[in-house]
Amino acid sequence: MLANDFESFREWIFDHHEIQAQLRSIHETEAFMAAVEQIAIDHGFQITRQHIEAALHAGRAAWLQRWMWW
Amino acid sequence: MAAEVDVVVDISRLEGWVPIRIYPQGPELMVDWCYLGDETFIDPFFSITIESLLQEPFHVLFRQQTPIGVLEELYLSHPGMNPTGLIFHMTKCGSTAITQAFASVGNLVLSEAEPLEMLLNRGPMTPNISDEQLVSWLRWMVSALGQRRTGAEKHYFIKFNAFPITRLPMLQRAFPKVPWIFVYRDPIEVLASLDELPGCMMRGAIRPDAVGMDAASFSNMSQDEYLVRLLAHYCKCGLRWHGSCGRLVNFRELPNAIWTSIAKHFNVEFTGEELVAMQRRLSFNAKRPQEKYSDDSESKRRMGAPRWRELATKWIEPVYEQLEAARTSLP
Repeated sequence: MLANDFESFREWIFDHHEIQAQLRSIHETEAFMAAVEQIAIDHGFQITRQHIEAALHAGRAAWLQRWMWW
Repeated sequence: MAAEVDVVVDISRLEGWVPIRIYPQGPELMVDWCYLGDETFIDPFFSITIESLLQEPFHVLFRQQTPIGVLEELYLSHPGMNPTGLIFHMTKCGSTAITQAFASVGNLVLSEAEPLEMLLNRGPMTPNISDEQLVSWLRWMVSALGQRRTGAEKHYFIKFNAFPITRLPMLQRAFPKVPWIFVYRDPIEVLASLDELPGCMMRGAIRPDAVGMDAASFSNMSQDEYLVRLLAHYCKCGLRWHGSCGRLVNFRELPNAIWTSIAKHFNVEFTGEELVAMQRRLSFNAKRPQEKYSDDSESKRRMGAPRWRELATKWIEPVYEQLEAARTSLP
């Protein structure tokens, strides 16, 4: 349920360019995760720091393993 | 494989985003998109630009994934630039210098862009993907990657890794009138460079049947023989197909050929200012822009000859001589 909420949140982010720009301006990972968590809470999404960390890990791994898929 | 994120988006969300990789998800091929904004592909390689973006947490966490079919919608509604010229090479022979010269004067330049390389490398080997489908995907992907970033780009050049010269007929089906070049170099110099940095030329990185080798001889040959025969195969492909929109370019012709014969072949002209800018860029190393450029051909020949002469004489020098004969017979 919570993971689905995270995907809903990500979808929501893609429709909000100003928030994207705000998040792009944060370069430090801890501060970025805190900002993401706060934005999610402010807009009614139930996501946790663990979801964000897991999604960051998956995003990095997907790129690093890009040639291992076919 | 890492868990993929099953998010489907519409194209209105993709403005400023670029495809960075493709991957299968069940029976479907997906595209992974990263926000590029008005950044340009000025780095020596596409992957350097993307790696740099992915140092930022936003680009790691917020990437969009779409079915590859979304590329067609984008192609129809937001067609990118048409490619001006395609650049193929045997590896370690100056092709990056050509792209860096073009990029230094504001052109859109892709250098070994992963999504295209993936389509060309793996596509034809994958069951249930027809050549027609692959040709369409190539057109759509080139269009998606060819969106103007600054608005000032005049030309769009695409440099591939060494392997895609073997896929030239497919690329010509996708882009039948686009001129291309094949860059090559004295094989001993190339082999000496590969001694320092073998890259993806290790045996096993490419399926042997994709580069004209049968499984039996492949399993019996040494890594050195494999390498020489692989380079020879790339050169044979350049030689075989150069008559159709192609031009052969020897490393020795660089850099002058960039603003003379190559520019003419690609039907582009450079201003005096652009010429100065390109020459300034090429006074530095193409792949390590912080270092001054120095011609290492002689030292490479001296270093490479003892190890490589015998294999080179047997497998690749005859092809090199044919390339030279074909090149020097051209106007």
